[in-house]
Amino acid sequence: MDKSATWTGLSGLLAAALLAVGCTESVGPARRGPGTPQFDVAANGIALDQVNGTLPEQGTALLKGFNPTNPHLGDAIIVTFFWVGSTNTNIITSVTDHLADGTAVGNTYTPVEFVSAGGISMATYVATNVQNFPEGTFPSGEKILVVQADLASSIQDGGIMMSAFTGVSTVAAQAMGGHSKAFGSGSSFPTVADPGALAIDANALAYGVTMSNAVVGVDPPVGFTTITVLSDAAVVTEANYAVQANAGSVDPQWSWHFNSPSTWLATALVLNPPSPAPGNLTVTTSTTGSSLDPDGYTVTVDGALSRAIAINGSVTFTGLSAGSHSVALSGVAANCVVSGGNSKTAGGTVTASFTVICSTTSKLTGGGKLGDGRNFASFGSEAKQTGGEVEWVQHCLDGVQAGSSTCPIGNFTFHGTMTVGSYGAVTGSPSCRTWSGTGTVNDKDIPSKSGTYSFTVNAACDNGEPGRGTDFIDITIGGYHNFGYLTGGNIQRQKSN
Amino acid sequence: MTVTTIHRRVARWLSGLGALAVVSGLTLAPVRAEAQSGSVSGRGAAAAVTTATSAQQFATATLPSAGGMADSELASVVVPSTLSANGLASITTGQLDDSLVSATTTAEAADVNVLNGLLTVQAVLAVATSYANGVAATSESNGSTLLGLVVNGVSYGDVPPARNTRVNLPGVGYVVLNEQILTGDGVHNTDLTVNMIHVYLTDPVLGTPAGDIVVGAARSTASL
Repeated sequence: MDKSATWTGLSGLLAAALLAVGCTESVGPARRGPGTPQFDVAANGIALDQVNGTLPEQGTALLKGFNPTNPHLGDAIIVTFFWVGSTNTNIITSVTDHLADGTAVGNTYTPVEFVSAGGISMATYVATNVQNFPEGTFPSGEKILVVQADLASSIQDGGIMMSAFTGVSTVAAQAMGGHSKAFGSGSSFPTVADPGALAIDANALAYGVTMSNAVVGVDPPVGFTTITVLSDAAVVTEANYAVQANAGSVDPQWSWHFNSPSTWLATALVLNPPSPAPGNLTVTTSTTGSSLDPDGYTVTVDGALSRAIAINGSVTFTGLSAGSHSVALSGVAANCVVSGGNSKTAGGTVTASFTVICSTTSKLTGGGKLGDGRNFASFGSEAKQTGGEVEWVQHCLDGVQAGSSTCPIGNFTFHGTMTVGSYGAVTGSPSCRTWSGTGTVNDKDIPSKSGTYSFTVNAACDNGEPGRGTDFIDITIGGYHNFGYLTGGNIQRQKSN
Repeated sequence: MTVTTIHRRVARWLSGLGALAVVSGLTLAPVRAEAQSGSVSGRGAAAAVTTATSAQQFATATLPSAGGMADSELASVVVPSTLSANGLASITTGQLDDSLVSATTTAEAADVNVLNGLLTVQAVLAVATSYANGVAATSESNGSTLLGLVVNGVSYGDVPPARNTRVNLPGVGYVVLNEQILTGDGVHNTDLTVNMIHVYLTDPVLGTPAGDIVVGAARSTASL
């Protein structure tokens, strides 16, 4: 892209815009109508409400009104003042607001960053939860909210850029996140203006503003929306913002199109949304199967708040703090299993549901030998609705045998733990059960094969006694698969409860 | 291996063992689990060495009283001049149901060397299974295995010896291979102990028991 050509076109647009901004027009985004509820914004997140600004101004004050539409009560207002003149200290003595008719408003504007270099200066202030002014549009201007900085000394060229955001926390200490500033110089494109990275939470606002003493173009930070650009014969300023979807860090960087030695200033800050309000958590249970738990369950939140709950019922915990909470179901009968586990974390939701499955055929045990000759396995297993384990020892007396179904990785032992809820019948084989889980292989011949693997007992079948030649087992451990009728031992499936 | 070499190895073991006293053979005390009118027990030991001064068991597992499963593993064991083995493991499982109780125990080891090579075996697996259904109580050792067995220079290959095969070990005592001890009335209760290798040590001078070495010991009991 030809940046110079782009800037030439932009300059023309800016010139037209600045004429309006310098008077009474807002350059803000879509506006909300009067009477909109003022504290429901948290639910909708942070959004740009009103924007205004002007450049150039002279004298001992920099001020501007939100013509023609005021921000909303509860908004946060970010104001950045610019002026030509490099000083070691901020010459702003106070920042106040009032209505255009002179009525004092009285919001507090907190200084956030001041940066000065190369004969230019920039200071940024924030007021949160602004109040005490009328909402709405005022074409005649007398009720417009005006923000003003008084200066310790007169300036010949300065300006003000202000933006109001809805959805920022109304608690100042909570609203203010990190902030940073920097300055630098360059003489060619791209000269990167980088105030530094800031930590930021999810749904928080990142605001950045830059200024240069060269009247050239500037590319905005990637991922940021431009709030406004102001310029005059001596300086260019630009402000941008982004609402972050995820927690992490933010680092706005502008690329200045300098073509001669020039100076840039940059500031970034973070404003946070309000913390969610306390809420309620409803826990529900649903129990199916046979031999259902006779005395119900107990549900416990955060390991401390416990209440009884019916096997098909619900209880509501009220007044819980915002955020995630652990929810545990206990008191479940031995012949029942909680699908997906007995504990959950409820975050971003107001319900936690547990499904409990009960069964009268609740256990299968067995052990013995599979295979014969020099390749064989010994095993033991126990499985029921509430859990189980498998111990499997594969013997390969001639070591690793490529192509062998049972000795592709040689001698190994495996101990697996059943995933609760995986135990069930095998379709079409009433004497068989299946379950799965994860465990650890210790391979004696190929140590690199040792490690954690998933396993599935595809079928363990109790076909009668004695078990040899009658009972059957089929197991998969990672890529290992072995199955057949027992050559020793027995498998027993519980038939009574 | 020559007989002379074996005798030297035995002599080294005996000198290391020191004075020996009469020691009973390996005892796998049953752990009974009562439920309804039945009970099961099971216990396995991959190996055990008993002398006048010590009794050691390796990779032992005992069935919980309510049935279920227990297991134990040991990568290797070395009792100097007496026993070395790899891959020791025992698993015991059992269950009590209204009309059937059963228990199965396995005990195994690999690369076994007893008494400085007097007895070697590539793989040992003892399997003891017991059932009782209120009408009949039976036990079996199906699946029990001895692979690559060599005793006193005599190879037995991969064919397990007949149960309770006794082989004398001059200057040491004797070994019972595939030892099986069955008790019970065969109706309501049954108890089987399988010791795949059971070396009975005797004092070379007095001829009295001096301890024992067992590899692959599995026991199962069922009563209903």
